[in-house]
Amino acid sequence: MIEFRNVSKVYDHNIRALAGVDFRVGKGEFVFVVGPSGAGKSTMLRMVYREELPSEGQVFVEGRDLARLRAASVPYLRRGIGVVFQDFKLLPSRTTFENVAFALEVTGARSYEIKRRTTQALELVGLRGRQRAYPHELSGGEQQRTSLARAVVNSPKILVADEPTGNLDPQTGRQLMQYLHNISLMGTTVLVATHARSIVDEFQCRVVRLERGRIVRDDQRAGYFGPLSACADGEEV
Amino acid sequence: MSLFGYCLREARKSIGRNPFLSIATVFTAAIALLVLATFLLGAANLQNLAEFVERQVNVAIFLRDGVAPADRDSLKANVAGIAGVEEITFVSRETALQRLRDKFGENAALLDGIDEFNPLRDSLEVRVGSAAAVDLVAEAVKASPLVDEISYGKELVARLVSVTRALRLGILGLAGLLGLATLFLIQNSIRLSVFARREEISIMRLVGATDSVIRWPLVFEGIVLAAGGALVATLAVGVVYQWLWQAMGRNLAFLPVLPLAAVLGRVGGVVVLTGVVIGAAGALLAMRRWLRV
Repeated sequence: MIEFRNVSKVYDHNIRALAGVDFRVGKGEFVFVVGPSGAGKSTMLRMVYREELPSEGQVFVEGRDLARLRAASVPYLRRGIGVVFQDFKLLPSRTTFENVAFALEVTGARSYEIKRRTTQALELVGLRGRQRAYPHELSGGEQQRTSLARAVVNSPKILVADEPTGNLDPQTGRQLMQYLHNISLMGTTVLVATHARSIVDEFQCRVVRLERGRIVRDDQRAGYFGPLSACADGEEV
Repeated sequence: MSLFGYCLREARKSIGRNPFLSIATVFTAAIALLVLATFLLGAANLQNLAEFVERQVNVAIFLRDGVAPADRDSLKANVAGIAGVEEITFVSRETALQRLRDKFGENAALLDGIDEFNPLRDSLEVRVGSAAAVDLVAEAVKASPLVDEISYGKELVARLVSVTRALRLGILGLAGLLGLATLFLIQNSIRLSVFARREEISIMRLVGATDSVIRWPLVFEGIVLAAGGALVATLAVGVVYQWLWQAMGRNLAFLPVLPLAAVLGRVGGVVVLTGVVIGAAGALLAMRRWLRV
């Protein structure tokens, strides 16, 4: 579904974000990407939806080399990838319903289709009753669920979440992660960059750890610091 | 949902969501287009004035005293045969005096008493179609013993025509410059609007909006705002023009000023069309840098 082949990224002023990353994610997998700030997690995620291109190496999504994708094809790639951000990125002048419907409107979907699927997506994240509220009337958790509903309303094959719980309290964060996990159980590939150690430990999924732009560990059914049996090692973050 | 419908609806919603910015853009456009409209009205009147002056090209042949009616008629027939002469009329000294009275209007009493020794002369008034015919007429009658004097405002006419031509060119150039200024102003207004919505645009791009879905609502918005400004400008200029026209009718009646109805349609059309083109161009220019995928 997603494949990184020897991917490096160097920004201006010789800042190296990724260095020789090799990495594959299969269909329906749920993967945590962990690591200290500046390790390259966001860069890696942004490459999946082609907000960034690698300086070296190749990124494939569903078998397509993203560097070779024509600019005009990028919107169609993105319709198959839902994105959730730490700061929600909701439009303040639109209601919950409109924020979610927005992702369908821009694809030219028919209005009854927009209504049906938006309602479904809001139901999925438990916001059916809040659809007329504006973002400023919502709690942080509700705002993030709105942005999650927007990310899944197009029934994407891939969902990318960059620190989705960063602005939420632990309880709300755990709840949101549960929603993400449920979505992966429905067959969507989910990639989550996070610092939330307790949540990662709790979910026991695949964990990829990045440090200084390199993958230093990639374990199935792991906690934040590696396979759960090794958790007691007490490594520093 | 059709893309067109979506774009229209989004443009309308966006204007509604940012009413102050929208109103500011409309008025910016209105002010710039107001200047354009004013110049267009000025140009239309100048054109009219030039035509009016050209229509006034005629020659007055003043006759010596005591010319016999038969001689006069043969001279009249000669002149009438010259190419370019459209009309020739005999004006007796009595008629000339009556005209003068009419011109003096309520002050005609000043002329009382000069009937006895009317100082005016009989004349032939020749109306010609072109400035060239004026020369032909003058040449033909210059040597005639019946003719006392030939009067024609040839030099005046030539000067007026060249001055109006220069003015027309100048106004065209100015209108072009003003058009550019308007484009710049509207582009800036829309750029502000686009800048205010860069978050929205970036989210649109993330959820897979194609460039055209992002672009057209903004272009529609630009067109609607600039056309709105054009209507405001046309309306304002129309009201002021009508007021000026009435005031001039009272005080400067001899100047041929076009009535509002004769010019508003044309000027309004040009201004609105300019607004539409500039609004669309401004929007496209303004969002260039935000549409890099």
